[in-house]
Amino acid sequence: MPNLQALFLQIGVILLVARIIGLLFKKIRQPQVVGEMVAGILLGPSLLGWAFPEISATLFPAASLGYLYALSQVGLILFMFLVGLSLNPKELRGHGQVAVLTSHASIMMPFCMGAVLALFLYPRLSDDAVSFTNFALFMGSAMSITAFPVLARILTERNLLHSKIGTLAVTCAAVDDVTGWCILAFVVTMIRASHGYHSIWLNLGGAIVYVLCMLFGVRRLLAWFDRSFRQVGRLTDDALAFMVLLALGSALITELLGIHLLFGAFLMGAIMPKSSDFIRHATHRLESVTVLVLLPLFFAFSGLRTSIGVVKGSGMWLYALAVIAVAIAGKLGGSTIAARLAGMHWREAASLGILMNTRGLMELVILNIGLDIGVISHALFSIMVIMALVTTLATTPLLAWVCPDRMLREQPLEISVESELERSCSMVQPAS
Amino acid sequence: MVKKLVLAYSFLVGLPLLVVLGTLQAGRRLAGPPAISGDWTVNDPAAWSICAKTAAATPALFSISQSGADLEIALNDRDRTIIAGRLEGSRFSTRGSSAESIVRMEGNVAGSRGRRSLVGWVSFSGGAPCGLTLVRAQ
Repeated sequence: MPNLQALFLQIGVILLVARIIGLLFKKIRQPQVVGEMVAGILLGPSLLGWAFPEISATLFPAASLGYLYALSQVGLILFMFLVGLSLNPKELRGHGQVAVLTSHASIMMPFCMGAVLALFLYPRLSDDAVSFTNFALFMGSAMSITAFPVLARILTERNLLHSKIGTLAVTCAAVDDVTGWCILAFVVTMIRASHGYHSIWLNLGGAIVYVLCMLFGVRRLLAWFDRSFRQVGRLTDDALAFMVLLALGSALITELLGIHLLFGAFLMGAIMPKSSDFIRHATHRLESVTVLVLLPLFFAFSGLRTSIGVVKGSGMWLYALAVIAVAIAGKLGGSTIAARLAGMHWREAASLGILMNTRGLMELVILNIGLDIGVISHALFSIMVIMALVTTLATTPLLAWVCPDRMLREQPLEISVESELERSCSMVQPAS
Repeated sequence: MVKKLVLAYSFLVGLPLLVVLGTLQAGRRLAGPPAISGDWTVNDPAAWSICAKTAAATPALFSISQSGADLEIALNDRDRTIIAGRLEGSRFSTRGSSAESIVRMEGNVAGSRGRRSLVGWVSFSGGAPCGLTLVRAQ
């Protein structure tokens, strides 16, 4: 039997600290979700465990963390389902040369630089239980991700959603998300197969068959949700329960196929009907508990695994600086140069690059996967968490510095996808 | 404009892709430090009990955390001593102290992956070093 008193106390403390730090961050014009991420780290060995080890050991005894982990995974599955739900394939096409070039470059440039950095980090922060290929592919994936939900949140809070830059940034982030998760699914499959958990061909074949079945079979059946919604005028409890069941079922199948729970949840969300009202209702019903209660548990669990104290000595901080520099140069630099070459002005191009450099909680999700499957060490995990925080925290001040809101809003919107973007960006906003 | 975009695409997408492929090829020659993280125990508990006397617990458990070449070893002795050190190739060298004892441990990683053992010596509070062989704890 779980120790319910300990679990409830943990949840209470996590929610309280997450709300307080989140609100403090909001006061300094940072997204609340970034504050919640920081709260998770403060509750871990980086602060609480370091300053008050007895309190930390009493509050988060190792034996009780399994329940916290399980709850955080449920939250993450629902969150990834919501992220998939908010993605609309229509946004991914017909957005002109700037979006195509920038989105592809914003994946490939950081991926390439992450892989090259792996040459330096592998002998220093990894070991021979992980092959260089898997390590490099993971580093590339982790460097190339953009936090679509946090980006949408920043743009909404600054009223930039309909600006040219905002539109482009959300489009590119959506492309990045889909591509990034596909690459990561491949990497996780390779790594798990190399550990001998499953056969590589069974994994890859199974994954391809599953995705094809979902795209061309299950997707059509899911139109029932939209029809039911239109008939009744609301999303019934039965429909909602069935939807959650499908997300959990899909997560379970991808886990059994050797990919990861989260890919199944994301895929199920991505193939759900995309009519605006349906998405709005479904998101509204699901996101409150997910975002307000379960996600902070994930942040806390990530924080308990993050130990800034591990990053000690000039050598470790040099690695951390190298990771941060490569992450920024690859994502911000790559996106900026691509947008500039596609015809944008320097200031606009730099703004787009800054927005694309937002990694936020999607980076945390990926890093936790990496730590779970053993491709990164605790030290590298902590370094990458620092990088995720730095790149996300830098977005708002850098954007205000390079291109004030007034100038961004004055840019003409050349891409006619406003309504779709408005719909998608009102979804999946972690913490309001 | 189209020509410029094709060039830009080749430079920003095609070239990095080639670099990734080259990097993966080049990295195949790299060898990471031997993986020894996890729980280890002595293969001869009788010899260990004489060696450790009151300083360490029996059966001994060495919990190793590894980040590349950096090691941190937690002992299950009374003081939960933690010793830190490094791997240089297959050779490890660690040192740490608790309220009661100074612990030093040195040795080599022997065997191939999956069948590794740690062969070396340990000393408590400057006492005579005693040889030990650690194997993976079940």
